[in-house]
Amino acid sequence: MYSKSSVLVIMQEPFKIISWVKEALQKYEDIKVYTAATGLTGFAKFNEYLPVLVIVENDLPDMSGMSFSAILKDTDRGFNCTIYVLGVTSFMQNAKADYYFPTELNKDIFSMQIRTFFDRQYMRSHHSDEFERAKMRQNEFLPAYLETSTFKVDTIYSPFSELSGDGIDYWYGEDKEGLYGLLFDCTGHDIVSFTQVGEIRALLKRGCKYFQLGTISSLGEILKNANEDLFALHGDDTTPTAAILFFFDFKKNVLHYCSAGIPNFFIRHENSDAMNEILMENYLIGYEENVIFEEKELSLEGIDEIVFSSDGLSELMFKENIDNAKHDDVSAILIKILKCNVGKTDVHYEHLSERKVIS
Amino acid sequence: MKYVMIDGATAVISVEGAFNLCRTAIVNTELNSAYQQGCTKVAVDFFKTTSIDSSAIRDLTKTRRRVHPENFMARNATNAVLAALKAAKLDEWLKHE
Repeated sequence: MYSKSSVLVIMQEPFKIISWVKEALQKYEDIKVYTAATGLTGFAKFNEYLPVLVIVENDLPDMSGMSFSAILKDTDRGFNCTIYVLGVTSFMQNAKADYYFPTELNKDIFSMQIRTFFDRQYMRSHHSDEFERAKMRQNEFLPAYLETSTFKVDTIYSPFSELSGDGIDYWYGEDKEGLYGLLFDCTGHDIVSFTQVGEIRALLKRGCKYFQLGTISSLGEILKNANEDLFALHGDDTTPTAAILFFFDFKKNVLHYCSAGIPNFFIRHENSDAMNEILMENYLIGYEENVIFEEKELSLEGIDEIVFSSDGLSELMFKENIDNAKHDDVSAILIKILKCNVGKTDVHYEHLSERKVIS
Repeated sequence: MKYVMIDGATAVISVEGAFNLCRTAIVNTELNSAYQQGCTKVAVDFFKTTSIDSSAIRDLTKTRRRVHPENFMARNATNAVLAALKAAKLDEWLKHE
């Protein structure tokens, strides 16, 4: 790993260059400057400190700066560092340095190059940190494994490339007789999709909470409202999202669900290993402004297990001749129903903190 | 152009194999070129397309909105492509066939 804040100057008389470097990088307080007087000591110092930038004069006592550059760039440690060669009067083939400066060095131009280089380094580092924070934040939103005496809920959440455009959530009601949940897939599986996740989650979850309170009467109405809100917020720039909402009414032993472009879900019956596919057809939210989303019901009689998933998973299940092991964000909510307790009102609820994240 | 052909005022998108995130960026670039050359309609020919992912659906939806629904159509969707379109009721794009 390169030291993002160190420079190696390989020159016999480095003091002028060191003062220019330090002056140019005043705003970066933690940058260290190391020195070496020859090419061979330069290799040793590089291996010791792994600087992100090497400034080498061409006229070294033991080798040319361009030879130093060509050798360092082909090592496993040095291939990605940046090398400036100073005092160049003619070019050698295959020198491999990043920048070449003439004998008459212009202080302003040199200082600007150094400053620009470290500004870019800083921005890269900053973006990388932001990226890591986004990944942590994404995982914080994953619901915990949930187990009650009526059901168990677990998840699979596997982004296509670190940040996912999928979202999942579930929770039980205060009456302790229902399991509510949502799964959505912001179309695409790139950073654009990821940026939409928070908004879609908020819109759908708000609707589900109103549904739970009885203010909204159907899951279809939640999707309709979310769809209208998306168009009100983004107009023609609205991006479509596939989603499914569900509500397990364990008192009546019925599953209510409403899809918006999620193509299917899977059920497994008691005493069977086979997963059966339930197909659905409906508009995506964010596709057309005035569309209806129809809620459907499924009796839970005889059903042991239900799997809701984004198409990133369903397109891989029970299919032949697949040439891509994974081609999209994958997310799923896996629900096991414990038959003996369905319908009882004195169920005991227990949260477990463990959750499954595959990435 | 690799994936977009110009046929009069119509830009015809034809992607062989998987129409996915890897292809959508090129398709969009070529579509912009087609618009600049005067295309006002878009047709998607799925004849050579074996699968379509959500990135392609997202971008085709936005393309449809840009040229207006009456100037957007699709054709020759079968198997996995047709199933993916049907799940989101996007097989209505084929109704103009």
